[in-house]
Amino acid sequence: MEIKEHLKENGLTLSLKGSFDEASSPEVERKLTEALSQDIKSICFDLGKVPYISSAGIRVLIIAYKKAVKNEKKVLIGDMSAKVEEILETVGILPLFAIPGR
Amino acid sequence: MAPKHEIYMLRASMVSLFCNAVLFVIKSTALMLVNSLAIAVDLGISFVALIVSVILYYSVKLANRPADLIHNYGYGKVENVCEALEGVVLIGIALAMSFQAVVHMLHPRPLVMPWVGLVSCVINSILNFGGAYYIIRMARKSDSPAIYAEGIHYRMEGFISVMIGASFVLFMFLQASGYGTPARYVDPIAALLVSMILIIPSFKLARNSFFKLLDASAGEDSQMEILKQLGRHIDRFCEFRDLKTRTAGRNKFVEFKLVVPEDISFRKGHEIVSTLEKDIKAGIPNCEVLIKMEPCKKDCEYVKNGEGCLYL
Repeated sequence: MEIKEHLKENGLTLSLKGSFDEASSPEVERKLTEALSQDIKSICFDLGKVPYISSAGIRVLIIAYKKAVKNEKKVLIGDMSAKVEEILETVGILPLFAIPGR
Repeated sequence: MAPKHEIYMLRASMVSLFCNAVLFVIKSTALMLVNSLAIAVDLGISFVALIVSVILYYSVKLANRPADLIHNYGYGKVENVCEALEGVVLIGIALAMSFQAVVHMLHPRPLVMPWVGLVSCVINSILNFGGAYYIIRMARKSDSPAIYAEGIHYRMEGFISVMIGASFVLFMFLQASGYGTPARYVDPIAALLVSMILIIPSFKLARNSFFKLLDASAGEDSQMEILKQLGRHIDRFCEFRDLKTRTAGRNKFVEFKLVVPEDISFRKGHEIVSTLEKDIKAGIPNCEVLIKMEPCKKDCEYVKNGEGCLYL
Protein backbone atom coordinates (compact mmCIF):
# COMPACT_ATOMS: atom_id res chain seq x y z
CA MET A 1 0.00 0.00 0.00
CA GLU A 2 1.10 3.53 -0.76
CA ILE A 3 0.62 6.03 2.09
CA LYS A 4 1.03 9.75 1.50
CA GLU A 5 1.02 12.30 4.32
CA HIS A 6 -0.08 15.85 3.73
CA LEU A 7 -0.07 18.50 6.47
CA LYS A 8 -2.37 21.49 6.01
CA GLU A 9 -3.89 23.99 8.45
CA ASN A 10 -3.40 21.98 11.64
CA GLY A 11 -4.72 18.87 9.99
CA LEU A 12 -2.93 15.82 8.65
CA THR A 13 -4.29 13.89 5.68
CA LEU A 14 -3.29 10.26 5.20
CA SER A 15 -3.97 9.34 1.57
CA LEU A 16 -4.03 5.58 1.11
CA LYS A 17 -3.73 3.72 -2.18
CA GLY A 18 -4.34 -0.04 -2.33
CA SER A 19 -6.14 -2.56 -0.16
CA PHE A 20 -6.41 -1.64 3.52
CA ASP A 21 -5.94 -5.11 5.02
CA GLU A 22 -3.79 -7.30 7.29
CA ALA A 23 -0.68 -6.52 5.26
CA SER A 24 -1.04 -2.73 5.21
CA SER A 25 -2.80 -1.97 8.50
CA PRO A 26 0.33 -2.13 10.77
CA GLU A 27 1.99 0.59 8.67
CA VAL A 28 -1.14 2.78 8.74
CA GLU A 29 -1.40 2.27 12.51
CA ARG A 30 2.24 3.31 12.93
CA LYS A 31 1.66 6.49 10.86
CA LEU A 32 -1.46 7.16 12.91
CA THR A 33 0.42 6.91 16.22
CA GLU A 34 3.07 9.30 14.84
CA ALA A 35 0.37 11.71 13.66
CA LEU A 36 -1.40 11.73 17.02
CA SER A 37 1.79 12.79 18.77
CA GLN A 38 2.01 15.89 16.53
CA ASP A 39 0.41 19.20 17.34
CA ILE A 40 -2.53 18.90 14.98
CA LYS A 41 -6.27 19.22 15.40
CA SER A 42 -7.52 16.62 12.95
CA ILE A 43 -6.58 13.51 11.00
CA CYS A 44 -8.23 12.89 7.68
CA PHE A 45 -8.22 9.49 5.97
CA ASP A 46 -8.44 9.71 2.20
CA LEU A 47 -9.78 6.29 1.17
CA GLY A 48 -10.79 7.22 -2.39
CA LYS A 49 -8.14 4.92 -3.87
CA VAL A 50 -8.75 2.05 -1.46
CA PRO A 51 -10.62 -0.70 -3.32
CA TYR A 52 -11.20 -2.86 -0.23
CA ILE A 53 -11.02 -2.56 3.55
CA SER A 54 -10.79 -5.69 5.69
CA SER A 55 -11.50 -6.13 9.40
CA ALA A 56 -7.83 -5.23 10.07
CA GLY A 57 -8.35 -1.85 8.38
CA ILE A 58 -11.61 -1.23 10.23
CA ARG A 59 -9.84 -2.04 13.50
CA VAL A 60 -7.30 0.73 12.73
CA LEU A 61 -10.12 3.20 11.99
CA ILE A 62 -11.82 2.42 15.32
CA ILE A 63 -8.48 2.77 17.14
CA ALA A 64 -7.94 6.09 15.33
CA TYR A 65 -11.35 7.30 16.46
CA LYS A 66 -10.76 6.27 20.07
CA LYS A 67 -7.25 7.76 20.23
CA ALA A 68 -8.42 10.97 18.60
CA VAL A 69 -11.27 11.35 21.11
CA LYS A 70 -8.80 10.76 23.94
CA ASN A 71 -6.52 13.52 22.59
CA GLU A 72 -9.36 15.90 21.69
CA LYS A 73 -8.69 15.58 18.00
CA LYS A 74 -11.06 14.88 15.13
CA VAL A 75 -10.99 12.01 12.63
CA LEU A 76 -12.42 12.65 9.19
CA ILE A 77 -12.87 10.54 6.12
CA GLY A 78 -12.11 12.81 3.18
CA ASP A 79 -13.06 10.52 0.35
CA MET A 80 -13.84 6.83 0.02
CA SER A 81 -14.55 4.32 -2.71
CA ALA A 82 -18.07 2.91 -3.06
CA LYS A 83 -16.92 -0.51 -1.78
CA VAL A 84 -15.27 0.97 1.33
CA GLU A 85 -18.38 3.05 2.05
CA GLU A 86 -20.55 -0.05 1.72
CA ILE A 87 -18.35 -2.02 4.15
CA LEU A 88 -18.15 0.79 6.72
CA GLU A 89 -21.89 1.23 6.52
CA THR A 90 -22.48 -2.52 6.98
CA VAL A 91 -20.24 -2.61 10.04
CA GLY A 92 -22.01 0.50 11.31
CA ILE A 93 -18.99 2.67 12.07
CA LEU A 94 -19.49 5.30 9.34
CA PRO A 95 -21.38 7.69 11.69
CA LEU A 96 -18.28 7.88 13.94
CA PHE A 97 -16.41 9.90 11.33
CA ALA A 98 -17.00 13.39 10.05
CA ILE A 99 -17.23 13.43 6.27
CA PRO A 100 -16.61 16.88 4.76
CA GLY A 101 -19.30 17.99 2.33
CA ARG A 102 -22.01 15.74 3.77
CA MET B 1 -31.65 -34.51 24.10
CA ALA B 2 -28.52 -33.65 22.07
CA PRO B 3 -28.19 -30.08 20.69
CA LYS B 4 -29.42 -29.56 17.11
CA HIS B 5 -25.95 -29.04 15.62
CA GLU B 6 -24.82 -32.36 17.10
CA ILE B 7 -27.83 -34.14 15.57
CA TYR B 8 -27.04 -32.62 12.13
CA MET B 9 -23.39 -33.65 12.41
CA LEU B 10 -24.24 -37.20 13.47
CA ARG B 11 -26.80 -37.54 10.68
CA ALA B 12 -24.23 -36.35 8.11
CA SER B 13 -21.52 -38.69 9.42
CA MET B 14 -23.91 -41.66 9.37
CA VAL B 15 -24.99 -40.91 5.79
CA SER B 16 -21.31 -40.58 4.86
CA LEU B 17 -20.46 -43.89 6.51
CA PHE B 18 -23.35 -45.73 4.85
CA CYS B 19 -22.70 -44.31 1.34
CA ASN B 20 -18.96 -44.98 1.61
CA ALA B 21 -19.60 -48.60 2.61
CA VAL B 22 -21.94 -49.06 -0.40
CA LEU B 23 -19.47 -47.29 -2.73
CA PHE B 24 -16.62 -49.49 -1.48
CA VAL B 25 -18.58 -52.69 -2.27
CA ILE B 26 -19.64 -51.44 -5.75
CA LYS B 27 -16.12 -50.31 -6.68
CA SER B 28 -14.45 -53.50 -5.37
CA THR B 29 -16.85 -55.62 -7.46
CA ALA B 30 -16.30 -53.41 -10.53
CA LEU B 31 -12.50 -53.60 -10.12
CA MET B 32 -12.55 -57.41 -10.00
CA LEU B 33 -14.66 -57.58 -13.19
CA VAL B 34 -13.23 -54.69 -15.25
CA ASN B 35 -9.52 -54.69 -14.28
CA SER B 36 -9.35 -50.89 -14.58
CA LEU B 37 -6.60 -48.76 -13.01
CA ALA B 38 -8.92 -45.74 -12.89
CA ILE B 39 -11.39 -47.75 -10.81
CA ALA B 40 -8.48 -48.87 -8.61
CA VAL B 41 -7.66 -45.19 -7.92
CA ASP B 42 -11.33 -44.52 -7.20
CA LEU B 43 -11.45 -47.56 -4.90
CA GLY B 44 -8.37 -46.28 -3.06
CA ILE B 45 -10.15 -42.97 -2.51
CA SER B 46 -13.24 -44.81 -1.25
CA PHE B 47 -11.15 -46.96 1.07
CA VAL B 48 -9.67 -43.81 2.65
CA ALA B 49 -13.10 -42.21 2.70
CA LEU B 50 -14.55 -45.23 4.50
CA ILE B 51 -11.86 -45.11 7.19
CA VAL B 52 -12.25 -41.32 7.48
CA SER B 53 -16.05 -41.75 7.80
CA VAL B 54 -15.56 -44.08 10.76
CA ILE B 55 -13.09 -41.62 12.33
CA LEU B 56 -15.46 -38.75 11.50
CA TYR B 57 -18.35 -40.48 13.27
CA TYR B 58 -16.32 -40.84 16.48
CA SER B 59 -14.77 -37.37 16.02
CA VAL B 60 -18.22 -35.79 15.88
CA LYS B 61 -19.11 -37.49 19.15
CA LEU B 62 -15.81 -36.39 20.69
CA ALA B 63 -15.99 -32.83 19.32
CA ASN B 64 -19.37 -32.34 20.97
CA ARG B 65 -18.13 -33.50 24.35
CA PRO B 66 -18.13 -30.59 26.82
CA ALA B 67 -14.86 -29.16 28.13
CA ASP B 68 -13.45 -31.02 31.12
CA LEU B 69 -10.46 -30.91 33.47
CA ILE B 70 -8.11 -32.46 30.91
CA HIS B 71 -9.27 -30.42 27.90
CA ASN B 72 -10.35 -27.06 29.32
CA TYR B 73 -11.27 -25.66 25.88
CA GLY B 74 -13.25 -28.69 24.74
CA TYR B 75 -12.52 -31.17 21.97
CA GLY B 76 -13.35 -29.03 18.91
CA LYS B 77 -9.89 -29.40 17.37
CA VAL B 78 -10.49 -33.09 16.66
CA GLU B 79 -12.50 -31.89 13.65
CA ASN B 80 -9.41 -30.18 12.23
CA VAL B 81 -7.30 -33.29 12.91
CA CYS B 82 -9.86 -35.28 10.92
CA GLU B 83 -9.66 -32.80 8.02
CA ALA B 84 -5.85 -32.89 8.01
CA LEU B 85 -5.81 -36.68 8.08
CA GLU B 86 -8.15 -36.88 5.09
CA GLY B 87 -6.01 -34.41 3.12
CA VAL B 88 -2.71 -36.16 3.79
CA VAL B 89 -3.97 -39.66 2.98
CA LEU B 90 -5.60 -38.48 -0.26
CA ILE B 91 -2.34 -36.82 -1.36
CA GLY B 92 -0.56 -40.15 -0.72
CA ILE B 93 -3.11 -42.06 -2.82
CA ALA B 94 -2.90 -39.54 -5.66
CA LEU B 95 0.91 -39.76 -5.78
CA ALA B 96 0.94 -43.58 -5.65
CA MET B 97 -1.71 -43.85 -8.34
CA SER B 98 0.04 -41.33 -10.61
CA PHE B 99 3.09 -43.56 -10.49
CA GLN B 100 0.96 -46.63 -11.30
CA ALA B 101 -0.69 -44.78 -14.19
CA VAL B 102 2.69 -43.96 -15.74
CA VAL B 103 3.76 -47.62 -15.39
CA HIS B 104 0.49 -48.75 -17.06
CA MET B 105 0.99 -46.28 -19.90
CA LEU B 106 4.29 -47.98 -20.67
CA HIS B 107 2.59 -51.42 -20.60
CA PRO B 108 -1.11 -50.79 -21.47
CA ARG B 109 -3.69 -53.55 -20.90
CA PRO B 110 -7.19 -53.86 -22.39
CA LEU B 111 -10.25 -53.44 -20.18
CA VAL B 112 -12.61 -56.35 -19.57
CA MET B 113 -16.38 -55.71 -19.56
CA PRO B 114 -16.10 -51.88 -19.68
CA TRP B 115 -19.90 -51.54 -19.57
CA VAL B 116 -19.82 -52.92 -15.99
CA GLY B 117 -17.41 -50.09 -15.15
CA LEU B 118 -19.75 -47.58 -16.79
CA VAL B 119 -22.80 -48.80 -14.85
CA SER B 120 -20.75 -48.73 -11.63
CA CYS B 121 -19.67 -45.13 -12.37
CA VAL B 122 -23.27 -44.02 -12.95
CA ILE B 123 -24.38 -45.51 -9.60
CA ASN B 124 -21.32 -44.04 -7.86
CA SER B 125 -21.99 -40.56 -9.28
CA ILE B 126 -25.61 -40.62 -8.08
CA LEU B 127 -24.53 -41.74 -4.60
CA ASN B 128 -21.73 -39.16 -4.45
CA PHE B 129 -23.69 -36.13 -5.65
CA GLY B 130 -26.73 -37.08 -3.56
CA GLY B 131 -24.53 -37.65 -0.50
CA ALA B 132 -22.61 -34.39 -1.11
CA TYR B 133 -25.85 -32.39 -1.30
CA TYR B 134 -27.12 -33.79 2.01
CA ILE B 135 -23.77 -33.62 3.86
CA ILE B 136 -23.03 -30.01 2.78
CA ARG B 137 -26.55 -29.02 3.86
CA MET B 138 -25.96 -30.56 7.28
CA ALA B 139 -22.49 -28.94 7.46
CA ARG B 140 -24.01 -25.49 6.85
CA LYS B 141 -26.63 -26.09 9.52
CA SER B 142 -24.08 -27.29 12.08
CA ASP B 143 -21.22 -24.96 11.01
CA SER B 144 -18.84 -27.93 11.18
CA PRO B 145 -15.60 -27.75 9.11
CA ALA B 146 -15.02 -31.53 9.26
CA ILE B 147 -18.51 -32.28 7.93
CA TYR B 148 -18.09 -29.60 5.25
CA ALA B 149 -14.75 -31.14 4.20
CA GLU B 150 -16.52 -34.51 3.94
CA GLY B 151 -19.21 -32.96 1.73
CA ILE B 152 -16.61 -31.42 -0.58
CA HIS B 153 -14.84 -34.78 -0.71
CA TYR B 154 -18.10 -36.45 -1.76
CA ARG B 155 -18.71 -33.90 -4.51
CA MET B 156 -15.15 -34.33 -5.78
CA GLU B 157 -15.61 -38.11 -5.86
CA GLY B 158 -18.79 -37.55 -7.87
CA PHE B 159 -16.85 -35.65 -10.55
CA ILE B 160 -14.16 -38.34 -10.53
CA SER B 161 -16.80 -41.04 -11.14
CA VAL B 162 -18.25 -39.00 -14.03
CA MET B 163 -14.77 -38.68 -15.51
CA ILE B 164 -14.00 -42.39 -15.19
CA GLY B 165 -17.42 -43.19 -16.69
CA ALA B 166 -16.58 -40.93 -19.65
CA SER B 167 -13.27 -42.80 -20.10
CA PHE B 168 -15.21 -46.11 -20.38
CA VAL B 169 -17.50 -44.56 -23.02
CA LEU B 170 -14.43 -43.37 -24.95
CA PHE B 171 -12.80 -46.81 -24.61
CA MET B 172 -15.89 -48.60 -25.95
CA PHE B 173 -16.22 -46.06 -28.79
CA LEU B 174 -12.57 -46.45 -29.84
CA GLN B 175 -12.76 -50.25 -29.69
CA ALA B 176 -15.98 -50.31 -31.71
CA SER B 177 -14.34 -47.99 -34.28
CA GLY B 178 -11.38 -50.36 -34.70
CA TYR B 179 -8.86 -48.33 -32.65
CA GLY B 180 -8.08 -51.10 -30.16
CA THR B 181 -4.46 -50.05 -29.51
CA PRO B 182 -5.07 -46.36 -28.64
CA ALA B 183 -8.11 -47.48 -26.59
CA ARG B 184 -5.72 -49.26 -24.20
CA TYR B 185 -4.21 -45.89 -23.18
CA VAL B 186 -7.57 -44.39 -22.17
CA ASP B 187 -7.68 -46.10 -18.74
CA PRO B 188 -4.16 -45.14 -17.49
CA ILE B 189 -4.63 -41.58 -18.84
CA ALA B 190 -7.96 -41.34 -16.96
CA ALA B 191 -6.25 -42.67 -13.79
CA LEU B 192 -3.47 -40.08 -14.15
CA LEU B 193 -5.96 -37.24 -14.69
CA VAL B 194 -8.03 -38.33 -11.67
CA SER B 195 -4.89 -38.47 -9.51
CA MET B 196 -3.83 -35.01 -10.65
CA ILE B 197 -7.31 -33.59 -10.02
CA LEU B 198 -7.23 -35.15 -6.56
CA ILE B 199 -3.92 -33.58 -5.53
CA ILE B 200 -4.95 -29.89 -5.64
CA PRO B 201 -8.04 -29.97 -3.36
CA SER B 202 -6.37 -32.53 -1.07
CA PHE B 203 -3.35 -30.27 -0.67
CA LYS B 204 -5.62 -27.28 0.06
CA LEU B 205 -7.59 -29.33 2.59
CA ALA B 206 -4.44 -30.48 4.40
CA ARG B 207 -2.88 -26.99 4.35
CA ASN B 208 -6.01 -25.25 5.67
CA SER B 209 -6.53 -27.77 8.44
CA PHE B 210 -2.88 -27.54 9.50
CA PHE B 211 -3.20 -23.75 9.74
CA LYS B 212 -6.36 -24.16 11.80
CA LEU B 213 -4.47 -26.52 14.12
CA LEU B 214 -1.94 -23.73 14.61
CA ASP B 215 -4.69 -21.63 16.26
CA ALA B 216 -5.70 -19.69 13.15
CA SER B 217 -7.77 -16.56 13.75
CA ALA B 218 -11.52 -16.63 13.27
CA GLY B 219 -12.71 -15.84 9.75
CA GLU B 220 -13.31 -12.37 8.34
CA ASP B 221 -17.06 -12.54 9.03
CA SER B 222 -16.43 -13.16 12.73
CA GLN B 223 -13.80 -10.38 12.91
CA MET B 224 -16.25 -7.95 11.29
CA GLU B 225 -18.95 -8.95 13.77
CA ILE B 226 -16.65 -8.25 16.74
CA LEU B 227 -15.79 -4.79 15.35
CA LYS B 228 -19.45 -4.15 14.60
CA GLN B 229 -20.33 -4.77 18.26
CA LEU B 230 -17.39 -2.66 19.48
CA GLY B 231 -18.65 0.12 17.19
CA ARG B 232 -22.18 -0.25 18.56
CA HIS B 233 -20.98 0.22 22.14
CA ILE B 234 -18.20 2.69 21.33
CA ASP B 235 -19.43 5.35 23.76
CA ARG B 236 -19.27 2.97 26.73
CA PHE B 237 -15.51 2.29 26.94
CA CYS B 238 -12.24 4.23 26.57
CA GLU B 239 -10.44 1.83 24.24
CA PHE B 240 -9.87 -1.84 23.44
CA ARG B 241 -6.54 -3.68 23.22
CA ASP B 242 -4.99 -7.02 22.29
CA LEU B 243 -7.93 -8.37 20.32
CA LYS B 244 -7.24 -12.06 19.67
CA THR B 245 -9.34 -14.79 18.12
CA ARG B 246 -8.78 -18.47 17.46
CA THR B 247 -10.72 -21.41 16.11
CA ALA B 248 -11.01 -25.05 17.21
CA GLY B 249 -13.23 -26.97 14.81
CA ARG B 250 -16.48 -25.06 14.58
CA ASN B 251 -15.80 -23.28 17.89
CA LYS B 252 -14.43 -19.76 17.98
CA PHE B 253 -12.71 -18.05 20.90
CA VAL B 254 -12.52 -14.27 21.23
CA GLU B 255 -10.60 -12.33 23.84
CA PHE B 256 -9.56 -8.71 24.32
CA LYS B 257 -8.93 -6.07 26.96
CA LEU B 258 -11.49 -3.35 27.44
CA VAL B 259 -10.28 -0.13 29.04
CA VAL B 260 -13.04 1.57 31.05
CA PRO B 261 -12.92 4.77 33.18
CA GLU B 262 -11.10 4.23 36.44
CA ASP B 263 -13.94 5.75 38.46
CA ILE B 264 -16.64 3.55 37.00
CA SER B 265 -18.41 1.24 39.47
CA PHE B 266 -17.62 -2.45 39.33
CA ARG B 267 -21.29 -3.15 38.64
CA LYS B 268 -21.37 -0.72 35.69
CA GLY B 269 -18.10 -2.12 34.26
CA HIS B 270 -19.39 -5.66 34.56
CA GLU B 271 -22.60 -4.65 32.83
CA ILE B 272 -20.67 -3.19 29.84
CA VAL B 273 -18.48 -6.30 29.54
CA SER B 274 -21.47 -8.65 29.85
CA THR B 275 -23.48 -6.76 27.22
CA LEU B 276 -20.56 -6.84 24.79
CA GLU B 277 -19.97 -10.55 25.42
CA LYS B 278 -23.65 -11.33 24.92
CA ASP B 279 -23.88 -9.31 21.67
CA ILE B 280 -20.71 -10.82 20.19
CA LYS B 281 -21.91 -14.34 21.07
CA ALA B 282 -25.28 -13.60 19.45
CA GLY B 283 -23.59 -12.57 16.20
CA ILE B 284 -21.05 -15.41 15.98
CA PRO B 285 -22.30 -18.99 16.30
CA ASN B 286 -20.42 -21.37 18.62
CA CYS B 287 -18.38 -18.56 20.12
CA GLU B 288 -16.85 -18.04 23.54
CA VAL B 289 -15.90 -14.50 24.54
CA LEU B 290 -13.52 -13.43 27.27
CA ILE B 291 -13.18 -9.70 27.95
CA LYS B 292 -10.70 -8.48 30.54
CA MET B 293 -11.67 -5.16 32.08
CA GLU B 294 -8.86 -2.65 32.71
CA PRO B 295 -9.03 0.79 34.36
CA CYS B 296 -7.92 3.83 32.33
CA LYS B 297 -4.77 5.73 33.32
CA LYS B 298 -6.59 9.06 33.40
CA ASP B 299 -4.23 10.30 30.69
CA CYS B 300 -6.80 11.70 28.28
CA GLU B 301 -7.06 15.43 27.48
CA TYR B 302 -10.49 15.70 29.13
CA VAL B 303 -9.22 14.60 32.52
CA LYS B 304 -6.01 16.65 32.15
CA ASN B 305 -8.06 19.78 31.40
CA GLY B 306 -10.40 19.05 34.31
CA GLU B 307 -13.37 18.60 32.00
CA GLY B 308 -14.36 15.25 33.48
CA CYS B 309 -14.60 11.82 31.91
CA LEU B 310 -16.51 11.45 28.64
CA TYR B 311 -17.77 7.99 29.49
CA LEU B 312 -19.15 8.55 32.98
